[in-house]
Parts: sequence; C-alpha cells; structure tokens
Amino acid sequence: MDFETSSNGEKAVIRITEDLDSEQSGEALRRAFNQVYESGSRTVVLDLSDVEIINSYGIGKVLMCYKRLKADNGVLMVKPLKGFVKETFELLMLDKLLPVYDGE
Amino acid sequence: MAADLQPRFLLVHEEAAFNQDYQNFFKQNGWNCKVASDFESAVKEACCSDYEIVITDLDLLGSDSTAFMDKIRLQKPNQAFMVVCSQNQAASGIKALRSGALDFIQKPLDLRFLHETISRIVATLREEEAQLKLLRRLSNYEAQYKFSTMDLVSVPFVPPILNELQRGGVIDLNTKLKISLAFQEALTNCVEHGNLELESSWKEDFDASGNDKFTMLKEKRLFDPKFSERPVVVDCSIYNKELTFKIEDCGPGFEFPEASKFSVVDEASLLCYGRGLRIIYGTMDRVRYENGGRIVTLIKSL
Repeated sequence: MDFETSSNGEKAVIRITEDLDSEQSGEALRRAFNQVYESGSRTVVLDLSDVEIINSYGIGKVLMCYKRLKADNGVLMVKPLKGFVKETFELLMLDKLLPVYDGE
Repeated sequence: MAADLQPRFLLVHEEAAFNQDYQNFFKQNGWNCKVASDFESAVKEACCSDYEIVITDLDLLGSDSTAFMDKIRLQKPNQAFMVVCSQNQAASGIKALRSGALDFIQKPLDLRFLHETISRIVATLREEEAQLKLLRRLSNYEAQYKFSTMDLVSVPFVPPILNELQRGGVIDLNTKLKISLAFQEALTNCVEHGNLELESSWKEDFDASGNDKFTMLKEKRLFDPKFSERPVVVDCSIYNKELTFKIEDCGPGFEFPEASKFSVVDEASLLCYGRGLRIIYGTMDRVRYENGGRIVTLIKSL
C-alpha cells in the first residue's frame, strides 16, 4: 500500500486513499511523509477525503508528521474534512492544531 | 408503496362539499382515508379505529386543537396528529406543534402537497415504530465474548450488536463508527496497558537505534504466554435503552484519569498519549472504572 504524493516546491500533498486504522495504512503514511519531507517540503497537506475511518493509531501517525514539521518550523495542514473523520478530529481538538488548506 | 403499506388516516374537516373530493383523491392513490366532519364523530372514530395519523382542521375545533388531541390521547396515547389551519391561524398551528402535533399545513389545501406531507410523516412514524420494535426485542439483550490477548492484536473486534442497531435504524452510520471507535480504544487499553502491561510514556523512550520501548516490549510480550494468553472478557448488553459494554482484562490495573482532564486542549498529551481516553469520554455517555482499572464499563443511551 502506497499513498500518492505531489509536490510543488515547498508544499506537498499526500493523498490518503485507505482508512487510517491499521499498521499498514499508518506505515504507508509514514513512508509517504518521509518521501516529501526528505525532498524538502516543509508545508505538507494531508488529503483525507477518501478516509472513512480513523482511530487513535492513525491519528498518532498524523501527529508524528505534525511533530516533525513543527520541529523544523514547517506546517502540517489538512484538506477540508467530512463525516466521521471530521468529527473525530473535532473530538480530539485536532482542528485547533492543524489548519485547513482550501486550495487545490 | 404496496397496498398493505398504504397510509391509513382520518381527516377531520368541516367543509362537507370537499370531503368526497378528498376521499376520491386518496382512494385513487390507494390510500385508506376516512373523513369526519364534526368534533364528536371525529373523536369517536379516532378512538374506535386505528389510524396512523389524524389530520384535523383547526376551523372545526375553534382553534383549540389541544382539547381535541387530549381527548383522543386518553384512549390512544400514541396517536399521531397533524393540523390544517388558515393562513391567519399560524399561531394556532404553532401551538398545536407545542401540544404534540407532528406538523401543520396551511390552507388553501393542495391535495398533492397534502399527499406528500402525509407520505413523509407516515414513513417517519413507521421507521420510529420499527426502531421501537427492535429496541423492545433487544431490551434484554446480553452477549459475552472471550478472547486471548493475541486474538485481539491481530483482528479488530466490532461488537455485532452495533451492526444490528444500525441496520434497524436505531443508530446511524456515524454513530456506529463513533461507538465502535470508542469501544476499540477501550479494548486496546485493556490489551496494551492491562494484559501486556505497557506504559504510554514508553512510546517516547527511544534507544540508540531509534526504536521506542513501547513497540519493542509489545512485540516481545506478544510471544510470551504469560502476557499473550491473558484473557479479555467483553460483556455487551442493552437495558432501558442503554447500550453497555463491560471490558475486563487480567492486568495489574491502572490509575484511570477523570473525564475533566480531557476538557481542554493539551497539545503535549495529545502528541504522546491520552487520545484513546479522549475519544472514549467524548463519545460515551458514561464511563466507569472498577477493580483497580481492570474493568471498564462504557454506556451509551440509544
């Protein structure tokens, strides 16, 4: 399982196409993040629009990305969320930690 | 809509000239419509026969729908009502809603709009009735599942009752996912912090190779029968419209935090640990720890 990444200089987008509730999808996120981080992107946008289920393990992986970027003055953003994922982010107050990216 | 599922309703309306038109219209649609044209006969008809909904014209009742509904409810406490009012009677329509009418529609009556409104309300009533039937059927639901620690590490367990409640319309998909997630988080706590005796703070304790203590010890203990064969027992029940999960592990117990700890944003704890507990407390209506933290009970009102 691999997630698609696209990069535009400083900014990169990771499109997560599986539910973030397993070791496989968590590892796929970690690999995709490492790829864009090592290529120099310090603004990373997570596109979770295909994700229906996320659990604390998946959120742990998202926060791992947040921590690495923050330590390097970078920023982790999310495309507008919906449904269960949005409610879970709000429940954990992650919406206050991760800004929403409205662009394409 | 199949013939045996056609709405059966009583229309209470004083304009006799139109009553036959109404009946004809609804009969053409295969609906079972009866018309009553005065207060007393309407009450008698509603009390003696079964109607899914009674639709009453406020002009007939002198704008006092409450007395009419109350009189019928003495015999039929669960009778559903809708009112018809003139455009200058909107306040009475609102008053009828406060007295328990499901909706009001304003004159002039448009038969097609009336048809659509009744269809919608009857469909909702039937869904509610089906949900109540399911809850009654499940009113003494009890199930118990026993797992070894190893069973739960490899495959996530979703209590089958959640699927049944969703299929029956008692909970929607989002609610099922939220309860399921809270349950999974509690189960994970019992496995990881209970039976495997792992501490969250070890996730931040790295060795020289960059491996964290939590993951390393977890992998090791899963192959140690002393830890991996410890059981987890899950009791699921429904009583008084409350869904309860009781999860018991065989670990040493732990100091459980109070819900108030999770009411503020705490970036440090969010980044390290506490996310599962925040999900549990934020989703369930009540959370109870017993036996030194070895038993957690999650309760959700349905």
